Order: sequence, then C-alpha cells, then structure tokens
Amino acid sequence: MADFTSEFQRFIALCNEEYLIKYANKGIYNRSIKEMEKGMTISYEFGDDYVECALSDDSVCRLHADINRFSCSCPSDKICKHVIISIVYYAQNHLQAGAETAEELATYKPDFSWLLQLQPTHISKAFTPAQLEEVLFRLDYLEEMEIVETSFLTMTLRTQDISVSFDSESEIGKSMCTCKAKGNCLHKLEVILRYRAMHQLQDREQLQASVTDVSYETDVVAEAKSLIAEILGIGLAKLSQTICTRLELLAIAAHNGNLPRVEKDIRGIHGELNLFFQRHVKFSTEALLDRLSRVYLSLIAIEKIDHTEAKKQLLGSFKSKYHMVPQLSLYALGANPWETRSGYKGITYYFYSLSDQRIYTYTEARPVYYEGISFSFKDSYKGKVPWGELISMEELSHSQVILTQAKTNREQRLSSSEDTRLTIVPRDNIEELDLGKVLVGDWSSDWKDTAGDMFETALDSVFILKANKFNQVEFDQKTQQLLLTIEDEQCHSRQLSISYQGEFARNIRHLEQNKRLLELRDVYLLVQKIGDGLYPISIMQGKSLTSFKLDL
Amino acid sequence: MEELYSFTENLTDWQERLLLKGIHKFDRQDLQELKKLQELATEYDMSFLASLIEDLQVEGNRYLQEVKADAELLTQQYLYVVQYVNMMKKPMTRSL
Repeated sequence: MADFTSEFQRFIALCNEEYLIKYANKGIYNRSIKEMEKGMTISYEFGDDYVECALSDDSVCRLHADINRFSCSCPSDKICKHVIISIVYYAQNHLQAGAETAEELATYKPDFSWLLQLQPTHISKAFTPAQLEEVLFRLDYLEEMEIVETSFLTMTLRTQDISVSFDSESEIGKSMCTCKAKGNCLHKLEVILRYRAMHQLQDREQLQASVTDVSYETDVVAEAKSLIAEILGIGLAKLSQTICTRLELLAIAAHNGNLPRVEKDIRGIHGELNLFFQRHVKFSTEALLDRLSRVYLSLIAIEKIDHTEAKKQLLGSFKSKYHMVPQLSLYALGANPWETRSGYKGITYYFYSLSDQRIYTYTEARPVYYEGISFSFKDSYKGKVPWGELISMEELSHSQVILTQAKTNREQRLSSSEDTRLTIVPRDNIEELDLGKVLVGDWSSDWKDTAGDMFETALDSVFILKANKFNQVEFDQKTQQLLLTIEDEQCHSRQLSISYQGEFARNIRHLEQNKRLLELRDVYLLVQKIGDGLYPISIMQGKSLTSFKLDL
Repeated sequence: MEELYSFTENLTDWQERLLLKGIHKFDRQDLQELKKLQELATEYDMSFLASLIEDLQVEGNRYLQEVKADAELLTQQYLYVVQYVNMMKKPMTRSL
C-alpha cells in the first residue's frame, strides 16, 4: 500500500493545470477551481490500488494512479469536476506532506524517447493500411510542425491547425488529438512519422512494405508469357483469330489475379491484333512489337524482382488513389479543351505548385457517347470551381490560389473533393517565379521524355517555354494546322502547332489574322508535347494569361 | 548520322520480318543477317547492342542445332534487342 501511495503522489504531481485541461477541458477545470475556492473539503481514504475521495458536497469519487481510471457518484461518464477537484485538492493540501516525494517530483522530467524507440511494426499495427498509405503520401509535402515539451510532448501541424499530445507513457492509444476522432487518427500517425523523420529515423520503406499487397497469381504471369511467346513463335502471317478470345480470357484472369498492369497490357495487345486482323490502316508492326516486348520483359521482371516498391510499380494498380495533402500553393497556367476518339470531352486546367515545383492538373470531363449527354466547353469554363464555388473555372485558370486539404494522386491530378478549401491570393508575375524543371531552358537538344523508365506509364508531358519572340504565324492548308514559330534568346527556333477544329475556328482565325502575336516579346508558353509535336496551351506575361482555345 | 539511321532501320526491318514469319521459323539466313548487324553495331561503337545481338546469335545457333530446343531463350533475347532498339529510337519518335 505504501507503494501505491507514492505512485499516487507521483501521479498527482504530474497533474498540473495543463495536463488536466488537456484531459478534461478548460471549462470543467475553471469550474472546479471556483468550487474549491468556495471552501470545499475532501477526505481521502487509501485502498489497495485506489483512493476513495469523499467531497463535502456529498459526492464520492474513486481515483487510481492513472488519469483514465476513475469513477464518480455523479451521473457523468466522462471526467467530471469532482475528479478534478479531488486531484487538485490533494495536490494543494497533501502533496507537501511527503517532502521527499515532492523533491523527487520537482526533478522529475517526462521522457518521450519511446516515440523514437517504437518499432515500425508497432506503428503499422496501431493504424490501418489506408491510414498508413495516406500519411506516407502526405509526408512528401512540406508541413510546418511546432514541437513543445512540457508534461506532454505536443506537436502542432501548422497548416492543418491540429495538435497531438503524447504523454510519457509509451502508448500511441493514450495520445490526444484536437480532431477529437475516436481511436488512432491520421494526425497521430502523421506527427509520429514527421517527428521520427526529424530525428533521422526513416520508416517509409518498412511501413510501405507492410501496406503494399504485392501478391499475385503466378500462374497468370506464366500463362501470359507463354501466350506472347506463342504469338511470336507462330508469327503474324499464320496467326489464327482465335488468339483474340484467348487474350480476352487471359485479361480476365489477370484482373482476378491482382495484375492490373498485365490486364491492361494484354487488352492492348488484343487491340493491336484486332487492328491487324481488320487490316486497319492504324495497325503498325512497330507498335505491336514494342508492346509485346515491353509486356514480356515486364513479366520476366515481375518474376525476378523482390523489392516491394518496384514490384508494386510493375503490378500497377486498378485505380489511382487520391490522398489529402495539407496545402498546395498553385499558380494557374491555363486551360486546354480536348475531345478523344473514344468519346470523352473535357477541359484540363494546369497549375504550377510553388512548393514542390511540379505541374498539377484538374480535369472536368464527360463521356459523350451516350445519347442525351452533352458537354459544352463554354458552360464548363464559365461554371463554378468545385472547391467552395467562390469563382468560376475561367477565373481560376487566370489566378493564383492556395488549396487547403486538397486531394491529389501520384500523377498530381487534383480531385474535386468538397473538403478542399480555396483561398485566392494576389497573382505573381511569371517572370519572378522559380519554375524549376518545368521551364525548359535548353532548346538546342531534344527534350527528354519525363517517363524515361521502360515500364513507367507515359504521362502527359507539359512544360513551359520562354520565347523571345514569334517569328511566324501561318495556317498550313495541307496539315490543317496553325503553325507558330517561336525563337529563344539564343535564336534557336521551334515550331508549335494548333490543329484545326471546327469549334475553335474563330480562335484560330483570330490568331492567324491578328498580327499582335508577332509584336509580343519575352513571353512564356505552356506547351504540351504529344509524339514529336508541340502544342501550345496558353501564353503568359507578367500577371496576364491567355489560353489559346478558350480565351480569344 | 544517316548511316546510323539506315542501320537502325535494317535492324527494325529484320525484327519485323521475324515477327511476321514467327520465331519458330528462325533459320540460317537470319543468323547471317544478325552477324552483319553485329559487325555494323561494333563498327558504330555500339558495343552493348553488339553484345545483345551476339547473344541472340548464340541462342539462334543453339535453337537450330539442338533437335529438342525450345524457343524460350531465343524469344527472350530477341525481345531484349527489340526493346533496346526502341529505347534508342525513343527521343526521336514516340507513340503515346
């Protein structure tokens, strides 16, 4: 029992104002102090591992040497003023009695090193795989974190305005987050990982491995390999059309066998072979051979590789996941309307992210192959932004904004999530921005493609060029393209083209006939590279921006 | 530059011919063509490509000589060459 008394006294010494407010709230704490000032008295009776506190207002509560274990005769099931009063009263009136303990307590300093000693396996057990995935994605984004050590280790995520406090007891479950969510929330995980990263502990690889499902059907891989080998072995000249059915069946098996990329590739081969059997003009042996070789070699790689991250990349994923990131500071780069042969229409908006120097996109698109569904570029452009409906998409494509709680995926596509909030900030001059790798400075050599890796999916290649002037603007009747020749400071020139489309005829005519382009000097152009062609999206100078197809 | 271009074209042509007739029909003539291509690759200082083509010849030879040889290794080696040539060409042309 003597042991319990000293344990209890140590616990009471820990219960300073900050500690109690954190566990209860400021209101209860203040009310408790006021009640005490009115002259409340309490008698304590020690049991084996508890103290019975009889308050002069006839309520009785029982305390243990742990803030989470208490009971009270009042109806409240949460921490109540009686519990707080019992703790504070004891601290004020009885603690000094054990002078030795008090001295010991004065030098007592809470120890938070357990946060650094945690094993990644413990962390992954305390959180769900979805939480781990989300936070690991978020760690790539900068977040200002304030750390304060008192009785608690309190870490505040500045942009999210969330604080998480840990006490010196080594349990993640006992930490408290201002988001008030039950159980272990995302913020707890985020601060733990950021804190550990600050102390040079890198958990990413181990945690990533624990959430990545890289199991797949080995039979399907072997079957896919042998089917490709069969196609190559027999040769196109003697290939029977039944191969198409077999490819389709294999694609289904790949889908069920957790092989998304193989499924897509097999369907791709199927598509190419269909073109071959139809003697279609779009068929190209080169494209087919490239696809067959890429798929076959990636199947060999899947079989050989052990590294989880690389394996995940090879297996691919069915759907690109969106994760929330704390904040994005975005500089609008213009908008581009498009229509695909497979029946989709949409507008893609481009933004330059000032903090991570990458291009983000937001796309609004509709399938138009169903009857009755139409998509008007103009209506969509004039429509409100999905994040708070403050401004129109057109205005957004000319401004500079901060998005908080934005959701984005690994391809830097933004989601129209309702949680995202938009704040408009004054637009900077494009000349003053550090455009990083997005600005292609060297025109003399060929551009390297962003997806250099053989198995990586080719992404939209979009970048900025700084042009000294326009040398020529003319419409080529043969190719039905408006050709713009631009020149940089070193007099290297490049040709940009805008393909003719009925819907944008007016814009193209305007560009062709109006000689203003030729008068412009030192402009920035957002350019999309498709194959060998360079297609301009917008033109920027100072704070102004014009999207070629939408603004003229 | 033009010679190099025509060399890559020759190599691609041979690859596409084999795709049409099928690897199972790989024959002596293919071996001879490969030998020429390997010599050219060495001449143009493309030693890695030359070694890839050489490995392909070795596999081709084995396939022709062994009665029960399967075409798996030959196929794999053929695809290595195909993919290497494609990567060489990529900065110039690229299909999305």
